[in-house]
Amino acid sequence: MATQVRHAAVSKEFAASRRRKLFVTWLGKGIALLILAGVSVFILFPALWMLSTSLKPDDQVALTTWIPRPVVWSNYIKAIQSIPFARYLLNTTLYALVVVFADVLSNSMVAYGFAKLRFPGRNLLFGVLLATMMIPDMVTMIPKYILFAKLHWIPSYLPLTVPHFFAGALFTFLLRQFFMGIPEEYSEAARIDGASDLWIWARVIIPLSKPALATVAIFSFEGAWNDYIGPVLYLSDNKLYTLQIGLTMFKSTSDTQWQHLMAASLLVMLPIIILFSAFQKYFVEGATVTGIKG
Amino acid sequence: MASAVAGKRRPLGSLKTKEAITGYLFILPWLIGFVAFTAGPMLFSLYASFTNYDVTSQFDWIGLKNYKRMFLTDSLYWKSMSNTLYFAVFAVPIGILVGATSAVMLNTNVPGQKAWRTIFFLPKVLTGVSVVMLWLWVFNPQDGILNSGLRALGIEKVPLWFADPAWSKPALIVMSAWSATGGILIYLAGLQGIPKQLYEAAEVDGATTSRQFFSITLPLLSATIFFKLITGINAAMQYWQNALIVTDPPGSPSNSTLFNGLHIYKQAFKESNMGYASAMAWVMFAITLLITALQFWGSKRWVYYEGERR
Amino acid sequence: MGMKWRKLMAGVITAVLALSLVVGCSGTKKEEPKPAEQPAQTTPAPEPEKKVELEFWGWWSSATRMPTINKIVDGWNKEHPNIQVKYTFVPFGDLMTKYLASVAAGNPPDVVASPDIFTVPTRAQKKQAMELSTLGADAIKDQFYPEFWKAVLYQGKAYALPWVGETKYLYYNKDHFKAAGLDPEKGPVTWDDLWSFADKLDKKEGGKLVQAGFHPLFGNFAYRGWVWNSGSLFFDNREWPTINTEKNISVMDWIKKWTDRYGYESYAAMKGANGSGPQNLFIQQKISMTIETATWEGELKKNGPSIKYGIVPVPTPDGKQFQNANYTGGFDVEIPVGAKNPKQAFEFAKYWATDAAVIWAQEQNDFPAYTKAAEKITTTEFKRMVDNMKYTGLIPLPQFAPLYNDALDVAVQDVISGKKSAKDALGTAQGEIQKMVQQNTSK
Repeated sequence: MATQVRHAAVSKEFAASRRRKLFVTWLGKGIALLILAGVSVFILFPALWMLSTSLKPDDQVALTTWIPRPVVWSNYIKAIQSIPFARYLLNTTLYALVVVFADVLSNSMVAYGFAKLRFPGRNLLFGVLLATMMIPDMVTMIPKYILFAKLHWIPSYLPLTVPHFFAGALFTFLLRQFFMGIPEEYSEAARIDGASDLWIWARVIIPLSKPALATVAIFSFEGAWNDYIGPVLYLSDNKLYTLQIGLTMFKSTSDTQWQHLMAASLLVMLPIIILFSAFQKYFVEGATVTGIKG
Repeated sequence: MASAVAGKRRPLGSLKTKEAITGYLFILPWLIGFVAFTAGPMLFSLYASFTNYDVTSQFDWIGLKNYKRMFLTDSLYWKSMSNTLYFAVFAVPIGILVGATSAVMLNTNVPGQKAWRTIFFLPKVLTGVSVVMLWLWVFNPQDGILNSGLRALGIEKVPLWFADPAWSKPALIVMSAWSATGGILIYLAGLQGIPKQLYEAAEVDGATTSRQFFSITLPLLSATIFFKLITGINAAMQYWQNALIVTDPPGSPSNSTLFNGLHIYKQAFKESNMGYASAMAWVMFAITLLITALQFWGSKRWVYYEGERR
Repeated sequence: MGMKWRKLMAGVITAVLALSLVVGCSGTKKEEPKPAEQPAQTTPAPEPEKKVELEFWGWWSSATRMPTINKIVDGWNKEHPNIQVKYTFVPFGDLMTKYLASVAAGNPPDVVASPDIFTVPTRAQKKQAMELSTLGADAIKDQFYPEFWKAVLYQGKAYALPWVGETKYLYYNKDHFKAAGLDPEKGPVTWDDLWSFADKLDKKEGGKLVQAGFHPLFGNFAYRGWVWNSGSLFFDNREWPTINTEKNISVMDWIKKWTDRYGYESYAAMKGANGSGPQNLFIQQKISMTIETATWEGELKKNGPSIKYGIVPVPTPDGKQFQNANYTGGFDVEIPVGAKNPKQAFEFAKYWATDAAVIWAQEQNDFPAYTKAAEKITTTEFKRMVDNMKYTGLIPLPQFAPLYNDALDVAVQDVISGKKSAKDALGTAQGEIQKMVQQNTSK
């Protein structure tokens, strides 16, 4: 009798707490949506203004109206025709792909060394690695340029691509943090079976790090895609220029064609957004297999 | 006899050595690149800081003159350091807060998750004129949305933002908070590394959402947060170029946005004092290094690595 | 697993493709001078000339500019088979940085167009720009306006050739004048005119300023311009700063008076609404009088086609015009130190600054520093520019304080926001600039 009463009481409390939980969850979701929507307004404002300007006819570009009448889609055609868009797109894509490949490969290797292996001077060397990103680059720009000039790599893409095959502070640090979060049991299990570290790196750690590697890939791509001062300094052949340099070609001291510039800018932004969107599958549950079975 | 004993000890030693060699091999790409591409220019600029280097016409040793000038006679230097530190102290924590909470929100099953995430990522790719338009709209002293909102709340003396030296940096901090949403990616990556079983177990034990956040999410995200902290400090100490889009002329008003990086840039390229600029750069380097080292020392208390190898 | 290896393979293939592209294209190093392959001529030439390819850096790239650039370069190349010029576009904001780096590394181009004629003496002193007088510049010095020629001199020798310059006018909105009861054919002549006209032109709606008659800082004119306009200077002959003189303080006070007229908040709001292109305050019809360059007229016609405007020289305190009534910048052409073929480079630079400048001016509505251009271009706009040149000064940057204007900006900001009096602010600026000079002369 007492147990029945207690059961009833407990289940009632449970039900009430479940209701509360549901309400809190829904309230939480509602608040979250509100915040998301509010912040999104500020984020979308510049993008929408760019879109609006890109579709304006010549005589409305000056106005602060939002909706162009009529909507001039041909601005996009004109934009592509104003600069060597296709060639620059090819250049930039190849450049970015090479950089992504180099960054993912080299940084994951170096990060594995710092995260999972012990060797004398590890902490000191890691400190030196981090230190390399703390120097303001204005003062290393000239000596770097002189160095590459002495190697006869100017003008070409070599100064822009080759260093990425040798890892760098930011991505190594990022991957090192992530690798240090992967339980040792995974590596141990492989080691017991006689695997070398190279095998562990390639077959154990890398597959478990898809979100982090995807992050490196996206940031690396974005860095190369949006790299401006590098290509300006190290390239001289107009045929080899990148999209970012191409965008500056729309500007002129007195007659910038804003509608074409905005159209071109939006087109240039698209690949990164598409890449980000496509890689989202690495950032959802199930992307990393966790938990040792049995 | 002796060989037998020696034979027993060798396997252990050789295992450690083997691991050490493997370690060096794995970091070899960085070591080569460091020696080939990075160390040279860095050491060059260090040496240059003790000279009157102006890139094209002189490179004479002048000892500590640059350093003396920086600390003793250059009032703009102290201004630039205080501007940078002011910015860093606020922008870094706010950036982490914005990035982490955005990522956590975007990791729950809100409807349209992919779309929201893509929108929040946009500030990373939005640059240039359109962003200027956004901020002019927000911060215009008379018509701007911010001040209109403040006036609607009854505040009469609204800040003049970029027209007032006291409010220009706060405005920039707001701008950097906006950009911080672009960093959700790294937090999202870190969040995926937290096993779902932990949340499920906590749920069964009756833990509330906030309890779960503080006991599960934060500790297991600490490695990621630490990364954002270190890189955030580094970025804030070198922050200056993003301020250029809204300050005209650069550094205005009244040098309130003269960040250390801008001061270095001007000395290097407008006054051709590359030697002096290098000295300032190395002092900034030393400060950043010091702060970073302190953070690493403190990280032992709050950063958790599941798979650390000490 | 297949996914990761497939990605790796794709990456390797891409890398190979990319590297081949890179290697294939990185062969475009500067060409060495090739000996001309000429068969024995019946007309004896003293010696076969070397064929040379010159690299020429400029910042033009838009659809409006390139036809003229191509016309000039192609025209030259046809006439000069032994001096072939290749034009390379470098974005405007980074051209000077790239130029500097290339001189430091010893691989500079042959000819560089520079957007900053004021820093020629600096580049001369820093051994970045080559001395041109001995290459033949002195022989043509009389072909340029004297103000422009002076600007490229360092210790008596020329280190660049002036190319184009500017001149500035006061533009006023005739419709606004009419509506305010002012004679639309009579622009302001003195500083007092500016003030009294503005009294009629200012418009407020509900306490908010919607139309400002004028403000000295709303157009393309800065505090230093007004100091020069008032007949004063900032540096004495020995490059020593004389910033806080009575005259300069009174000019600062005058600017403060204008700001107080509207109130600092309204001033800041207006300033915040100013932008380039169609966002220009005058084109937005938010101000009635403004100072802009002569070539800005083209922008005005394009972005504000409905505006009826008048043009007069920039007003001075007493109405009399003289050489420094308005100030301008200019573009020049230089040969970097370390360029491999200075003689040939100078030939092209000379052409660029003289005959080519005329072509440029005709097609691009620009104003060459080459005096003979006036013989070939006879439009009213051009004539007006030529006339205004006698009221246009090119005040060079002081050699030992190239950043002096930064200290002035701080002073102006402090004064108009009410933080400091003009006397104190300029006193601070004087101290700062003195320090700059001392620093830079003690190296």
